[in-house]
Amino acid sequence: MIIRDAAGQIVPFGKVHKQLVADFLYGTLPNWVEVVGTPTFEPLPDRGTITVTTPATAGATAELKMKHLIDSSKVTAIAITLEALQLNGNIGISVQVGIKSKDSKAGITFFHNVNQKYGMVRAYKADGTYTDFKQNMVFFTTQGVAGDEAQNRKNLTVLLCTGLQFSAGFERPSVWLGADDQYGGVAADLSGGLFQHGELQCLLKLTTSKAEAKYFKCAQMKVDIWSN
Amino acid sequence: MSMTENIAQAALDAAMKANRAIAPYDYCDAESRRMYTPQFDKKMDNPIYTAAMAGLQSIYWFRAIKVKGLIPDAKADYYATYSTNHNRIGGIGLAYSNSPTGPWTKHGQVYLDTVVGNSTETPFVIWNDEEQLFFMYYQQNGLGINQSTALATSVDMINWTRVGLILDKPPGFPGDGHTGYFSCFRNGGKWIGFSVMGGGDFGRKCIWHSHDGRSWLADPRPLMGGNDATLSAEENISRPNAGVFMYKGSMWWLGMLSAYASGGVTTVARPAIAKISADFRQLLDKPSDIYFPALNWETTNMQSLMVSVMDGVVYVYYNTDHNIGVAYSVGV
Repeated sequence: MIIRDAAGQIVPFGKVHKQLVADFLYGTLPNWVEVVGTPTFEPLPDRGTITVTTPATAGATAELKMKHLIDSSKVTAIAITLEALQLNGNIGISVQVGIKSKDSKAGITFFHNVNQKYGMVRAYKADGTYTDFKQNMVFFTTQGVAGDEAQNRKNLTVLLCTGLQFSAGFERPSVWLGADDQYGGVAADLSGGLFQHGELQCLLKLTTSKAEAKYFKCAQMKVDIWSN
Repeated sequence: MSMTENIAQAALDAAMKANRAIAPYDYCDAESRRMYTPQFDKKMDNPIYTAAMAGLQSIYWFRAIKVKGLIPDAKADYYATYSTNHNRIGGIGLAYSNSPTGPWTKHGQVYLDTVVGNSTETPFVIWNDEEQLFFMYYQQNGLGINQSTALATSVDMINWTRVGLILDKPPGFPGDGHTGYFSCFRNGGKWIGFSVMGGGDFGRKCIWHSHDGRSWLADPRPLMGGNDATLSAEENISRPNAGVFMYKGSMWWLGMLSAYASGGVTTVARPAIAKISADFRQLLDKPSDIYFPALNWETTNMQSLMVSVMDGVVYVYYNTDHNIGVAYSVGV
């Protein structure tokens, strides 16, 4: 749960805040990040970006993800942020920004499937099922929606609050979609077994639906971890 | 009652008033707390103005300002501007009254931008005391990248001089280039305004900053729907279609809670109020509904809600469908 203090600042999710930052300024990946697909960089003197491109096959992926896993039962909140995220085109791809286990049986992801009007926050369960929460934030424009509402060239943060910053018995895991200090999406309450703890990985993943090469581009990837 | 009892009663009354006056917020009873929350009433009558009265098929962004002392030989003490609602041509009209609550008399159309683009709508007029001019911001389809905010100036609010494009999407910002629906206010010497940053149902909003009302800097952190305040993915808060004002030491937002919708489609919206942070980016708590008693002409299709503070009273001009109503703050 996000609660703001009297000045409008978010009450910290825990006493200890750690942050991993990949800024792509030097044309290399930091040792905590791995990539799937073909990466290209625009290092200094450019502004520092990475572009990851899929093969030109249907179902191919481009991924940017954390090598290490985070045990969600040991932390109060995890956030993954993509700065200046850009996708090449609004069709023929599915995109997700996740904080989820490798077997998709724990954690959550913010997911937008090809040709769907709405994005979803998906909460995974240990039995392999999941629960979707429709969101009014989307990655890309689809048919019937006016304007470019895409996440193109935007900051995007997916925040998972494990609920462990609250007293025992009052935990309410929740997921928030935002940018900077703003929030435009919420799956506010994942309690009652909707949220499954696990060893989770932060990732950005693009999947093609047609035999075309697609890419995403971003200027920074950040992972924030809070605990007490 | 004896003289002694009278004196005692007077002393008690004085003490109670003093207590109310110094009651700290919070640690006080519910009645005292109301003193620190703006309370509103509304004109329980027919619409104060309508599209039909304006001779239009639709009406939008009706907002009054006080012009007494600013315009020699003004038609009345208060002028209101308005436009059509998502009309292909648009046009900005003027009405006048000697009271913020009306009755309002139609003057008629005072401005239509035919230089570039079309759909001249959503006027927002503010007095620039440094230039001794009325500034009118409006949106124009086909201007700038997409549908952008433009400026016109006037000395009498009837004859306007087009300045042209004033807000356009900076490179790398989200959205399709729509920077319309602009409203602004003065915060000390600074100018602060809100606009959309991209159109569509889920477009972002933007805070703009200026020293003169002409050259504006867009805050690169676009605003979103405030879902950490509404606690619902389905409902967002309005930004330019709203207002901010100071009340008893706190800054407040008064705007609409609504479904994510755009383009003038029929929607469900309602007025609400909440404290807002000093940087105008965050509501500090879940907005509270302002439960207006419903009038027989009102519907849930609230299309615009404009705030204007005049003579120390917060006026809220709202339109449902094609009819305008007004609410106003009352002392507690």
